[in-house]
Amino acid sequence: MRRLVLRALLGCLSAVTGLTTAQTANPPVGQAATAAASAPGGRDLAAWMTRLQEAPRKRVYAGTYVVSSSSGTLSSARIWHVCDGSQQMERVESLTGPARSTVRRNDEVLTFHDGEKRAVAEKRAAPGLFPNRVIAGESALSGHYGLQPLASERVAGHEADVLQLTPRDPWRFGYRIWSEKKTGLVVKLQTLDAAGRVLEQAAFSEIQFDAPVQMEQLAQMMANTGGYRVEKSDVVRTTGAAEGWAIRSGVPGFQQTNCLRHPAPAGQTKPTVQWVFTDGLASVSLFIEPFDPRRHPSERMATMGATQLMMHRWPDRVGGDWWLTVVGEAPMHTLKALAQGLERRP
Amino acid sequence: MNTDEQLELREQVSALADGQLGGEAFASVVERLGVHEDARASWHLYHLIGDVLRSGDMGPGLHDRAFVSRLRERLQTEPGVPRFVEPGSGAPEIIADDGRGALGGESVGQRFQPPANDRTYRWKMLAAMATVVAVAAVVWNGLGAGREGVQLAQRATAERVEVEVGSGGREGAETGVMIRDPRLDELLAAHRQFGGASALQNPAGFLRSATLDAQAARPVRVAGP
Repeated sequence: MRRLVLRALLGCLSAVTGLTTAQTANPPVGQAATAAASAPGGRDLAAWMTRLQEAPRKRVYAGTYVVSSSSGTLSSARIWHVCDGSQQMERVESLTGPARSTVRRNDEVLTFHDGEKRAVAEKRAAPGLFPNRVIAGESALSGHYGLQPLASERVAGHEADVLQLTPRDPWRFGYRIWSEKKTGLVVKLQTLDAAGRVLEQAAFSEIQFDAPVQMEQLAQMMANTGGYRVEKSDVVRTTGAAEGWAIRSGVPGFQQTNCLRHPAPAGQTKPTVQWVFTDGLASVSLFIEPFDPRRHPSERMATMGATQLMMHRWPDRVGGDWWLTVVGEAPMHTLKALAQGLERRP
Repeated sequence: MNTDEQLELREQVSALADGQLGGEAFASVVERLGVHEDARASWHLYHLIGDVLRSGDMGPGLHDRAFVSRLRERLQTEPGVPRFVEPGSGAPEIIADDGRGALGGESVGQRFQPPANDRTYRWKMLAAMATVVAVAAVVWNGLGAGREGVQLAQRATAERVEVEVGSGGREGAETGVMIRDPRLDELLAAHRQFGGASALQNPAGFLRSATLDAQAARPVRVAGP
């Protein structure tokens, strides 16, 4: 029954239409049947979050992962995941776009760009085992999202519990989560707009648990960079205050997490500051750099599936204007409010 | 394509549907799927058969195809389509480096004239069509975001766009084109790397960012508010 494989691909070969059918097929919020949720049971969001987060810890699996968005794009990758409880390793090999493979050991990430024979070493902000857990404050989460179990469904050949997270205010998107019944692993995830339509969906089209994946093999792969030019990313951790920024008025539930200083873009002298805000599920990055009329011609907004983007000239009579690029998986007005709430405190 | 080739392609499509292909074989069949109507029909049929065998529910595939052809017809007959940025109107430079970039300064009607030298044209056309709708969605969504705040999220749907494009495009609407902006790509990548992961998305957050390719993340530009 591996016909299911690449089913998601099919839906998106005719990109828009796949989405349309998905949209009409999804029951509106609040109507779907409440069903027996095998795992933490009922509407305990905190318990569910713990289950979802811990699921990959002791699991070994391999599968094909597909991400499609309402803007018609489709990406897919082959995934190998292994975890022995203390260490997580993962290998992701892209099946779309330029050939590249990514190997992760906890928060260390090495991306091989095959075409350019270039490897980029990075540290992910979200560490391997419990990403963003500190911030999420699960009780706070339930203040912003309502949880509703839906009838279970099959994803990639496995029975999955289906949960609907409905935002309690218009500052965030909703989610529908498919969590594999036995392991709790998130095997499918949809981001929904206020009308319940799917903006982006990511899913395993095929997954094999307890696949023969060896941690040593992945580790070897990570160590073997022969023939590749290895680049280290020069991102420095900082804080908003240290960079002279504060939030005068924020968006309910969104708290600052990371603040990073990226090296100046080519031909520039000033670095770009990235300040990240999250409500535990959604996250928004504010990129702040000095305004330069040659490089920043017009303010603009764009949407790419769940990801929204806006660019804005931020007036500053004292130190010269700034150019803000706000990117996040949240509604555009949330991005705007965060940008407007920014305050310069040099 | 002769009958033997057709049969061979069908077998390959069947193997693809069964998830048995990888690497180059995978890519080659996916590409041919885009070119051959017959192969696509087989692809839908195999899934339909699979679905019926498993559950008795119909697969969504045929519905998709019907929608695409309807949309294609509508787009071709529409006199009014969103106008795109005139070169040199103070807009940022548009680098038309791929099929999608070529939207600038050209009507949608014109886009559907196949270039004789492009063998994968039909595949691109499908993508382009999706893109046209997506661009339109972005245009309206951008406008909605600019003017209507909270309601914006409800506007970005394919169905709505079809209707709005059909109404001849909104007069005086801001215009949008696809651009390749390496700087935006960089910022999007940085967001996915340092901000994009959330409690929910472990491991999906990492998987999502590692899976999304630069092209998929290619932003769509909407002229300023």
